Amino acid sequence: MKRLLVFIGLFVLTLLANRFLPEVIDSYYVHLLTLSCINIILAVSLNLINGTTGQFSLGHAGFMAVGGYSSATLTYYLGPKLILAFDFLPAVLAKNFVFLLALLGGGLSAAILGLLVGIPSLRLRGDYLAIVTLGMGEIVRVLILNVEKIGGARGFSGIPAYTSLFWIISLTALTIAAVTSLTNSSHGRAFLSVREDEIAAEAMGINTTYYKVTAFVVGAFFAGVAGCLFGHYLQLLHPNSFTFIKSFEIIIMIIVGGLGSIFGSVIAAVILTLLPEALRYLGPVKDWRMVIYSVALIVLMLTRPQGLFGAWQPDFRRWWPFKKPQPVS
Amino acid sequence: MPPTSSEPLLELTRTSINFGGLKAVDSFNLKLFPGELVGLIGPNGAGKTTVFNLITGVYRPTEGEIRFCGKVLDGKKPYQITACGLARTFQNIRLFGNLTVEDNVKIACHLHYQTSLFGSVWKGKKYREEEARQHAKIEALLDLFGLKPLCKEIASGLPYGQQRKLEIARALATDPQLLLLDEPAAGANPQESRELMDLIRWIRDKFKLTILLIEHDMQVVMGICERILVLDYGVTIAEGKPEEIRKNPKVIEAYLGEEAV
Amino acid sequence: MQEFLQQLVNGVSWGSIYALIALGYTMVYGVLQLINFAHGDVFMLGAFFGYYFSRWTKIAQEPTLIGFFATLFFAMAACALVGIIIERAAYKPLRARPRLTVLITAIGVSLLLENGGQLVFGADPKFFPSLIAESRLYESENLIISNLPVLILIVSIALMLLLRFIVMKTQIGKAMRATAFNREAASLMGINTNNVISFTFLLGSALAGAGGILVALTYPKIDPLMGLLPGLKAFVAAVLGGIGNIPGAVLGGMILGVSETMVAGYISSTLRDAIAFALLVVILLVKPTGLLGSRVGEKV
Repeated sequence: MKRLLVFIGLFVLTLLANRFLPEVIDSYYVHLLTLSCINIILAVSLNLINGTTGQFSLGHAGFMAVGGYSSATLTYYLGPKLILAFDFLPAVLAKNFVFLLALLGGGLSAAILGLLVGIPSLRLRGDYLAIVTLGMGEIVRVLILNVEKIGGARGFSGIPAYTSLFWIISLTALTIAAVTSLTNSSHGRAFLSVREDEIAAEAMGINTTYYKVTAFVVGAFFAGVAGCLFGHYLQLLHPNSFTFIKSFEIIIMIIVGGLGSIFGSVIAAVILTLLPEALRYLGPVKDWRMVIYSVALIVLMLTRPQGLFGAWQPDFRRWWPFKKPQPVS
Repeated sequence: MPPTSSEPLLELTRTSINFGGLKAVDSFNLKLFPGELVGLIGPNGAGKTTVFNLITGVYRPTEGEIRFCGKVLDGKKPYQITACGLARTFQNIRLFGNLTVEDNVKIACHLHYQTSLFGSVWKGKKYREEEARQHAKIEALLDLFGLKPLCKEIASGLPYGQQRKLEIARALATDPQLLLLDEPAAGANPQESRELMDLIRWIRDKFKLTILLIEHDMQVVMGICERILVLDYGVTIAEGKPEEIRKNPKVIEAYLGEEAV
Repeated sequence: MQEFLQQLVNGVSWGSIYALIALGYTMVYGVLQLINFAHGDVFMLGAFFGYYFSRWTKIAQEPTLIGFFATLFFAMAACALVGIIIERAAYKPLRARPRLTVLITAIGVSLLLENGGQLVFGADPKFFPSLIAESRLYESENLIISNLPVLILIVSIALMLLLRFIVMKTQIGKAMRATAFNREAASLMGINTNNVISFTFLLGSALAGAGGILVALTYPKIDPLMGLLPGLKAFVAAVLGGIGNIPGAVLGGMILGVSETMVAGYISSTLRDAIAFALLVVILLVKPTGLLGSRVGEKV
């Protein structure tokens, strides 16, 4: 009951933010907020796979692409028909309901890809899994390039602008909450055991393949959702946005934040979204932007490879108004 | 259905494994009956841990058969074999280093209760009750090993002796019928070895276990094992009661070389 | 039939390039178990070193065979130096660290070379001078064999034979093989593994640099990002042949080069880039250790 009240409260808050925030802050900052939030969702979901479960996935951009393109296909081709079907609802609700379907569709298609890729590959050793996922991301990109119906090399334009602050804020919060809850659960313990020592985990009765695939599929789902938000924000999708460089960018975020730390992923995602923007304003330094970035990355690995927060998480449970179940003594 | 005492709990028949050209274990036979405490000894490289790996499904035998509670184990994956009622510890301790002591043991409880994905995220009433139940169970288990005060400590930070105990506690949390211990006394001083001997006998009685033990510490082996098998170069060279094994010339030769006989 | 031969010639030509680059990947993986993501960018540097050298020495104005080989040699030497610098500065300090850390560093070096290249060389493509005049060796209605693919093949084979000689018949080659097999044991045997590792990078980078020059001859448009895709594909070739396995890298490179060209020629040119990854997925699912690789297990 209490949890329901909290959810309703947050829902209302998000609606209010959606309505009033753009009036209070400059649209440029809203833009930065949007990009940061999309990156947070990507980083947190990748962290579940790479950080918590210790699986080396280098193809996250592929999941994002699948989510983005499949959801855009839905809203672009089916959207108008669906909205007509819902004309008994006020336009705003109909539009957002269609978007909800698109989000679910995007997430699910990415999740299905995760399942297809995960099941055969997750029995491969670390480096090999990295290579397969890298390859998967590239195959997705090249296949998209070859499908004219979704724009191919010209890109998919004309995507309806359904991404609003409401969706951005609520989905980011939901992703963080869901992944945190999952990590601090029995599933989470299983994921961690796979990371720590797969052989010991198997010996203790953990079906490691099942948990590796699960982490992979969940991570893919959220990446797909991020892709959907991305596409419906820019109103344009292009395969060039989903190269392995994009995957590397997300990897860098979770490494800088600290592999395994959800909190770290959030902070690093924000910093690494805002930093390039900030450097853009440094005039002559701007051409050096990427060079500084890469040097900084190398230096970070040489000096503090555990990233900003290591695997540390702040214990927010102290602030949670609900009591944990007391162990029976 | 628990096996009757006349049926072996674990049976290996002519089990062998080849690695390339090397026959690491050659025609190994073993019948373990419920409640027994049996030792497996032999010089380094004799194939003892390989036998454990065969039983637990890490390796597949190239010949022979392995049965547990009458069921054939070959081809089953390690986690499935553990689910049958078999647990082990490792020669080089394999704890979940970065996790807490209690999480290490909780993971072993997974076997008997799994939640759905949504259940883990939503954490409804049923989930929370189960978590409380597991927590109580592992606290009690850790208490038996004297590890309860260290519940929240990170496993890799524990002293060596405590780590070994934790590994045993973790294995017990899977509610096994058969426990395979791989050199539990490695690195222990004589005092610790004596405590370990008492501990092993005690858990065998309290948890109604059957125990198969690999050990180099002869004090421990001779002290608690009711029956001993000796391996050398993958072949069983002797089997019998401790007194017999102690005097067996082939065993002495295997450990100390021909000149010593 | 003639069209098939044409495609074959192109395929073998590209195959040799992929093989040259793949050799570097495979050798470094063999000794360090590191996927050197920056390797493809060394290939790019080779082309640029050659570009600047040939213009600076005026060889570009008066191309001769000697001039070509001088450029090739310079590019290889310069890349070898770059390889050693990268290894000593970025990878050596991380020897004891988990593999992921080094991998991220490799990504960082790759980004540095690409973006640094864009800064220093300028992001616009340059035109590599025609150091070897193109001539038609054989010409018929459907088949044109120019001297360039033949030259690429000859030079590549010569370099690979040289590599084989070094690896199999010299002292340091033996040391390389020992280090790849078991680094600790090799060092206990008195091998200076640090020098061996640096030497491995030297050889691999030199070969990549040669690849850069050879590609630039046939496709003169060079830019700082040209190493990305060939680098990735050459890596796939190395995995295909069995990562860590030297003949495997050559085999993988050839298979990739020929299949890519065949698919691009007979099915669709836009699917060309996907072939590499499709082959990758297939080999990893069927035989992850690669065509010539061998399984190494973990001791439990």
